[in-house]
Amino acid sequence: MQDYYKQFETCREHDIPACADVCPFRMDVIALQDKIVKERFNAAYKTIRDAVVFPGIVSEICPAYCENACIRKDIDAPVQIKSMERSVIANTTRKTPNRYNLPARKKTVAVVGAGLSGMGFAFRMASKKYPVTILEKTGRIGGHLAEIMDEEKFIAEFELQFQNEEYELRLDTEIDDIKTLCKNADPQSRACDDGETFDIIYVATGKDGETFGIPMPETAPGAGSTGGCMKIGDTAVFIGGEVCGKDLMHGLADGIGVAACAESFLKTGKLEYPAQPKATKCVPNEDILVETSPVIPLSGDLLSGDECKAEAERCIKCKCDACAVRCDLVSYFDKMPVKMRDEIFLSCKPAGSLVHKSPARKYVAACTMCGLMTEECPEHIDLCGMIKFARHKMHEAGKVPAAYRQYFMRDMAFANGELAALKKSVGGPGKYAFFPGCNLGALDPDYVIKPYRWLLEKQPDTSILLRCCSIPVDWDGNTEQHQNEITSLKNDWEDLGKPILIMACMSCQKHIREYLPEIETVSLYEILQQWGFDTSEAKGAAQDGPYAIFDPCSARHENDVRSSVRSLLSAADISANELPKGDRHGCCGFGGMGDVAVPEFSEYVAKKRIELSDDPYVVYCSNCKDIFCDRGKRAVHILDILFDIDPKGIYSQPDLTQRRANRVRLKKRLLEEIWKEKTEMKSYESKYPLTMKDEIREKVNKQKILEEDICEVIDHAEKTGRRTFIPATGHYRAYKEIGNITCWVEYTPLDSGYEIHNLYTHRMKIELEAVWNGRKTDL
Amino acid sequence: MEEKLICDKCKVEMEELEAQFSYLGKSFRHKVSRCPICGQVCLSEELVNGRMSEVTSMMEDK
Repeated sequence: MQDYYKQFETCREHDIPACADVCPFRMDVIALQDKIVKERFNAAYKTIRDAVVFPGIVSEICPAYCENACIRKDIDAPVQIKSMERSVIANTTRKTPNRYNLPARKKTVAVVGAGLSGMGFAFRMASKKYPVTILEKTGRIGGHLAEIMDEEKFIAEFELQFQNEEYELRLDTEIDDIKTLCKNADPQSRACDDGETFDIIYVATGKDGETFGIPMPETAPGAGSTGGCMKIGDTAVFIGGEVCGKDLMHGLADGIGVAACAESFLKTGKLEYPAQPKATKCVPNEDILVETSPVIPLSGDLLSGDECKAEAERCIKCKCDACAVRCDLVSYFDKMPVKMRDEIFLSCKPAGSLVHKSPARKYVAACTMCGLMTEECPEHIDLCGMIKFARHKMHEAGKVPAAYRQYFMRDMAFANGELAALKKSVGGPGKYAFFPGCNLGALDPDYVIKPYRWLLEKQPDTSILLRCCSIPVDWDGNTEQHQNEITSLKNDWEDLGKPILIMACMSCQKHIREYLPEIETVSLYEILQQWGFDTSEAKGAAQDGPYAIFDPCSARHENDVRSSVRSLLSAADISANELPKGDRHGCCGFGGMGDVAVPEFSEYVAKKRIELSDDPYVVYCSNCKDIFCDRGKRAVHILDILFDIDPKGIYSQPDLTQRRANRVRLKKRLLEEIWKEKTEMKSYESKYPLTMKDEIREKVNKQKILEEDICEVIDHAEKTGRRTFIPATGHYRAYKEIGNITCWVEYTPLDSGYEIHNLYTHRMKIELEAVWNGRKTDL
Repeated sequence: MEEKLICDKCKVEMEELEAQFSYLGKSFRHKVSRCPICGQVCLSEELVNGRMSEVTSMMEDK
C-alpha cells in the first residue's frame, strides 16, 4: 500500500500552466482569463496588479514570455495575453489602490537604487507600512526604464500605485559602504554621518551596479535559497534585479519576491532568498484544442472589452487533467486521484482498527478495472493497481457488502460446477486446448461449438477446458478463494497435459497471463487468422453499412490480436471503421463487476462507450456485446459473423436463467456431438413454471435474480405459510434471503406454477423476525 | 396509510410495528407493517426502493 501511496507524490494536478510558469511574476493567467470572460475588468486589473505591482509599466514593456509558451502557438497563434492585459487596463474603471488601515511598523527598510526592481520592493514594503527609504545615486527615479519607456508614463504609474503609501526618496545619494547602513555591523566601519541604520536593505543598483560584496543568487530551477542575501550585523541585506544579470521584468519580480522574504525575516528571523520554482510538468489536454483564429482589434491596436473577452475564450486553461478526462471513475465521482488515494488508504485499515470509516467503498467497488487511468496519466500513477489492491484489503477487513458481487460469485460457482464445467481431451493430451470462457457458451452454445469444430478440423487433438478463469473472485477481492480457483485452474491445465490455451475472451487471457504466466495462451482470433479461416461463407452475411470496431479494454495494446481481428473482418468483406481514439477507451461497463454496487456508474460508462460512434459495433468480447445489446446499441460479435450465428445482430440477449440453461446445454451438446457420449444430464429448469410480463422479467434480470431464486422464495412462503395477502390486488407477497440479498416476490398461484407480478430486493437484513411476543418461531 | 395487508398465516390485518434491521455491522429499528400475532414483516416496494435504499447507500458511503 505504501508503494502505491508514494507514487502520487509526482501527481501534477496542481502544476500551473506553461504560461504562468515562464511568467517572471507567475501570474495566475487562468484566473485572469476567467475574470475577463465574465467581463469583470476591475477584478482582472486587481489580479494583474497583485502579481506585477505596476500594471501600467509591465503591460507596456513586458516581452510576453507567456505567449511564447502558449500551447496554441503550434496550431494557430498564442493567446494574446499582453494585449489582453493592456485592454484590461484600458477597460478598468477603478485603478485607485485600496487604502488599508494597517498599524505602522517600527522596523526600517532601505532600498539602494530607485530602478523598477527597487520601486517594486519599496511598494510591497511600504504597503505593509514599513518605513521605506529609497537611496538613489542619480537625480531621478526609474533607472534603466527611462531608456525604453516614456518617463511621464512610468512616473504617473508610480504615483498611481504609491498614492496611499509613503516612502522617503533621497536622490543623489551614493552609498560607498553598505555596512554604514547596517545595524551593529563592525563598529569601526560605522562612519555614516547621522549613523542611520536599517533592518532590511535591498540592493538593486541596476545593470553593472555595485554589489557591495553580496553573493549572487543561485539561478538553477528548484535551487534552494543559497546566495542573494546575507546578514551584516543585525541587518538582512538582499540583492536583486538587473545587477544580478536579470532583465527588467525578472528584476521587478525579484523585488517583489525579496519583499516577501524580507518580511518573513523581520517576523521570524529566518533569512532566505526566494527559491526558483520547479518547472511545471503540466500536460494540457490537446483534444480540446481546436483551431480558433486570434482576435484582431477592429480599431487601433487595443482590444475592446468584447474583443478581449473573445480572446480570453481562446484559452483552453491548460492543466494536467488526463485522469479526469480519460478515467471514467475520476470523472464520474468527480474526485481527483490524490483525494481518492487518501480515502482508499483510510478505507483499507483493517477491521477493528480505530478508523472504521470506508469513504472509498463505493468507487473502489464501482471501478471497471480497465487500467486506462494509469496508462493515460503522464506520470503513470497506478491508481488502478491501488484500487485492485484495496479491493482485496477491504474484503479482508470485511468492508465489502457481500451483496455487491454475490450474483457473480454464484455464477462462477455454477460455471465451474458439475452442470457446466468440462475438461476433456480428444484422444491423448493435445498441443492446444480451447478455453472459451464462461460467458460465450452462456449466450449461445454455438459460440463455443462452431469454433471448436473448426479447431478440431485444423488440429484434431485440441482439448477443451470449459470453466471460469477466476477473474470474478479477483475483482471481488477475495484473495483466498482466488488463490484456490487459480490453483484449480492450474490443475485442470496440467491434467490436460499443459496445452497452449486458445482464448476466446481477452479478459480471461489477461487474467491468466497475470496469475499463471507459466500457461502459454494465444487468442482464438489470432489462431483463426494463422490457421487460415475461410471467410468466404461469412461474406455478405453481415449488414452492408460500416461497423465500428470496439476493442475490449483487455485488448488494449494487444496489437497482434487487434490486427488479426481486422484482417479477418476485411477478408470477410466487412467494412469496419476505427473509433476516434482507437483502443484508448475504458471498459464497456462490465469490468470490475461493479454494477450492483453502483449501477448508475456502470450506466454512465456504457453510455459513454456507446456514444463513441453511431455505427453498430463489432466486438470480440462477449461481455461488451451484452452491455451494448442490453442498451439498444446494435453490436455483433466477430464470431457471429464468421460462424453465422447472429451475423446481423438481431437476436435478443438471453436472460440470466436462460444463460444457465445454455451452459448446461453446451456441455450436453459437446459430450453428445463431439464425444458421441450418451449423457444422463438433465437440462436446467426451474422448479415451477413461472409466468411474468416482459417488464417484470427485465426487472428480475436487472436485479440479477434467477428464476430458481424466485422458486425458492415461493417455496419457502408456501411451506411456512409466511406470506402476506394483499386484498386490493389479490396477490401474495413473501420474501426470503438469497445469500445476502433479501428478495421480495409478489405472486399468485396458477394451476401449474405461479404468476410473478413484482419483485424487489434489498441488501439490508431483517433481524429477529422470528422472535415475537416472547416466543421464537422456526422460519 | 398504506394499502391494507393481511397476514396469511394468522388472517389478521397488519399493523405498523417496529422491526429491527441491520447492515454493515449496524442495527436500527423502524416501524413497518407487521402481523401483531406472529410478527411477520411485510415491506412495500415503495419503502424498499425508497427510504431503505437511501439508508443503504448512505451507510455504504460512510
